[in-house]
Amino acid sequence: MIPLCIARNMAKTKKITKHKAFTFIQELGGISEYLHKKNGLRVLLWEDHSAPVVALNVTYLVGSRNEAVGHTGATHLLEHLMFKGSKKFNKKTGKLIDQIVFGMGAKANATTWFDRTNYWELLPSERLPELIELEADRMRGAILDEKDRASEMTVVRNEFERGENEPMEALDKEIWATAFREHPYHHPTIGWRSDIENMSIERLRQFYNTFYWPNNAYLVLTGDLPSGCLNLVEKYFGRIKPSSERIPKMYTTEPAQEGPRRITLRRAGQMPIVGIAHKIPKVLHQDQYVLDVLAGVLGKGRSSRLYRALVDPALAIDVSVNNSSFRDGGLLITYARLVSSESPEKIEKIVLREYHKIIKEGITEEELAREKYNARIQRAFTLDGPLGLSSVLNETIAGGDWRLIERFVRGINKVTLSQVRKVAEKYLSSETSTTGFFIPYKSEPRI
Amino acid sequence: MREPIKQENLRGISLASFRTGVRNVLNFRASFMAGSRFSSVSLVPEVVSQMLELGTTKHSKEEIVNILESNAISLDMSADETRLNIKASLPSEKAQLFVTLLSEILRTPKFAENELTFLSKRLEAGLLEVKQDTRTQAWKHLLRSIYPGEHPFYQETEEKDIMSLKSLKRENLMEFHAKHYGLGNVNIALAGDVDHEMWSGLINKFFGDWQLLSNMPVSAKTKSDLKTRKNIFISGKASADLFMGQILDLDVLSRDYFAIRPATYVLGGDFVSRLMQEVREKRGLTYGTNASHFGIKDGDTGLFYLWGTFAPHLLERGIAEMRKVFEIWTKKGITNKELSRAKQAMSGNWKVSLADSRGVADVLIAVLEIGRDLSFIDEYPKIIESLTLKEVNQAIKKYIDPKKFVTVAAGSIEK
Repeated sequence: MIPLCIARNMAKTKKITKHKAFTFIQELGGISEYLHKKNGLRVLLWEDHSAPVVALNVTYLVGSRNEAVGHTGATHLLEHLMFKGSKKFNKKTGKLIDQIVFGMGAKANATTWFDRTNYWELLPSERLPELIELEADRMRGAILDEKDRASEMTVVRNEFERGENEPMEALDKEIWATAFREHPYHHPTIGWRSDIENMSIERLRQFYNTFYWPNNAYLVLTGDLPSGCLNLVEKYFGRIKPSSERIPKMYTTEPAQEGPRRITLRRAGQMPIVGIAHKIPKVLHQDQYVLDVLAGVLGKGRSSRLYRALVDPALAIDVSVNNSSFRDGGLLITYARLVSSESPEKIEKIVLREYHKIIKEGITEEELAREKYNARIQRAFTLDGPLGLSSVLNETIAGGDWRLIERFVRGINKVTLSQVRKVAEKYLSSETSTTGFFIPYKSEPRI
Repeated sequence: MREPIKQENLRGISLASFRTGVRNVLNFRASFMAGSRFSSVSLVPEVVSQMLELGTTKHSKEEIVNILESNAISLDMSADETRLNIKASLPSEKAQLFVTLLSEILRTPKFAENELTFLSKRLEAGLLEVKQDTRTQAWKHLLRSIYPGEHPFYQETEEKDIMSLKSLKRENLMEFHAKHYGLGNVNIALAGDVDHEMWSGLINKFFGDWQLLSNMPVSAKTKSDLKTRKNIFISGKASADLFMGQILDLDVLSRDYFAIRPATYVLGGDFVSRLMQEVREKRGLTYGTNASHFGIKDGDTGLFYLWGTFAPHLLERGIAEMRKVFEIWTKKGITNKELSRAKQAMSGNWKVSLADSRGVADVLIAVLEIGRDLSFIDEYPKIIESLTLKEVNQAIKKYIDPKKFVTVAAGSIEK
């Protein structure tokens, strides 16, 4: 039996290195990069014909790092409004964005984060031309209407409220807001509630007209690409002009932290949470490979040091260590959700004890080998279907260099034991720490 | 080049595999009848599943986790109402190591007393934590309202579960394990860089002589014509969760099952559904609302439900709008245009869900579990395409009754 819908066809089309509208930049790991000669749009292509499916992703280099007080959450609210209609795709033309996208059975969404906004679809490959046309149309033709803003504001506000329901999310917001005082990583991507409620449509239009241009975007196409894919991109995106003004640079930098910071969040709940964060450099910094290994050894999986110290003896329900680094820096954060009888102070001491062990003694060869092998396998999984690769590329583009996806495994492979100890010493200092406790006050549900 | 799905019946095991385009890695799925319906204490199967990796007669918990994680093998085991479900992802070159270890974990767990103590403490904390979760509380209360105590979908309160947990003995776990872990109804699905013959040989070698059982789920039927409304107050919550549900008695192998799917899709299956359009897009009342069904694949009386989240002050308006949309849907059904759109969307969705080896493995195991031939993967879009408007709207009338809806909301809302 041969199921046709998952039939494989491994034949690849010939790689294009010359095109009238695009300059071929480079190829790395099977990913080809092109630059549109006239409007500056960057295009990344990766072919895999093993399933008749394509992932389409448009990444705009604008995120909440481009916002300031009064319009926090603008990037995200704008992202929602981008589904309301564009020049060709609107109520009057009878071609509605959601109806087209979901009508073909695509998985689709958009997301906003500190450094970027992206619109993605995973779709049957024969429908690709329609969605390229749609994404091109809303790049400069979005209809940003006050009536839509008013109804979408309450939708976004409910998204904000849902986040506030979660103690972990609420604590995370407090920690970032405390660790970053001047840099816009201070505020959450969804924005502050009063900004969400009061931001004007004029402000959102201004934001759109500043940042939504081909020379501030990447188009990523992965999967079962048709031959002549670049012609298709040229047909719809090629007619868009680049911005007449330069895309403004975000110049605010976070000054060096000069001492530990602490916050406490008290709300109704059951279980305390401890969060311990340390400042780390930007995602393209060489130390990032080492920090990834460090985060893995500390908190990835049940063989990690903090899992063994906290979860195995049932002091905590779970623990995670995230290397959350972005374009301008970030935080290495440990979160532990405690069992209710344990005190946050005790857990904090245990976490710091494990940090100091690594600062003093380093990690073992076995631990380093484990991280290296896991990085290699993790990379192999990014090539499993078009969406995985597209999602990782979206993040590496946001970080400042899509080629990070290829450099990642090589970088991890070069990490040495002494580097891990030195990097732990460099970044896990108490002077750059921000510690947050979620302290619940007991409140029983009642019917 | 095309490669077929390979399928084989080993002793007490149905094995299916598909070699996708990815290289060097694969996804593994397995399940068998060891869920909560087979135990008088509903927590026992889940506790057994979580104890499996905490030590075997050969290896300690630390050794097991070291083997798994130093070889980049991700393994997750959990029990639902009917089955123990095993999900793993691994490098293809680690197949033998994985099957060897999985066999040891499933066949010779140690159930150490000290590990049970630690696990119980963590589970208790987890139970306390969900008391603050609006979605979980609304959902559990809905199931508690609709199903009688002996039904596998009935949900105990956290207090009762904690009491059960405290009285749990190692012997209870061992007894359940001895009775329900074995061959007979085991399904295994593999997708990715898979060598079927090698896997078949490994499975045969390490599981071929396992005890043969005949655990079959006994379909749990129930009746419920409740029409109630409950609010659960949880302090300090900015958003409330709402569920509206009723029983759904539907044979998963029947044509009616396929007919109710596009009907549900039109009501609340995606962004263009009636619920999302009326409640979110037009009125801005919610971030998310949908319609779905649950619990029908093993012949049980399942559940049809609507869900939404609302700021507490918008909850009543939200409920009224959802009800309005729902009542028009039950009264008038869907239109021809909507059915065409749903058919196209569902077929496209099916194709997209098979885009990676994880998706393929999920579909393979699901098809094996409902006992269909694997040709169903190709047939599904054709069945959907063949549905008539009459069939779809008759299914709504036959199975859904707006007079029998239980409505439960949880959040910072008063009665």
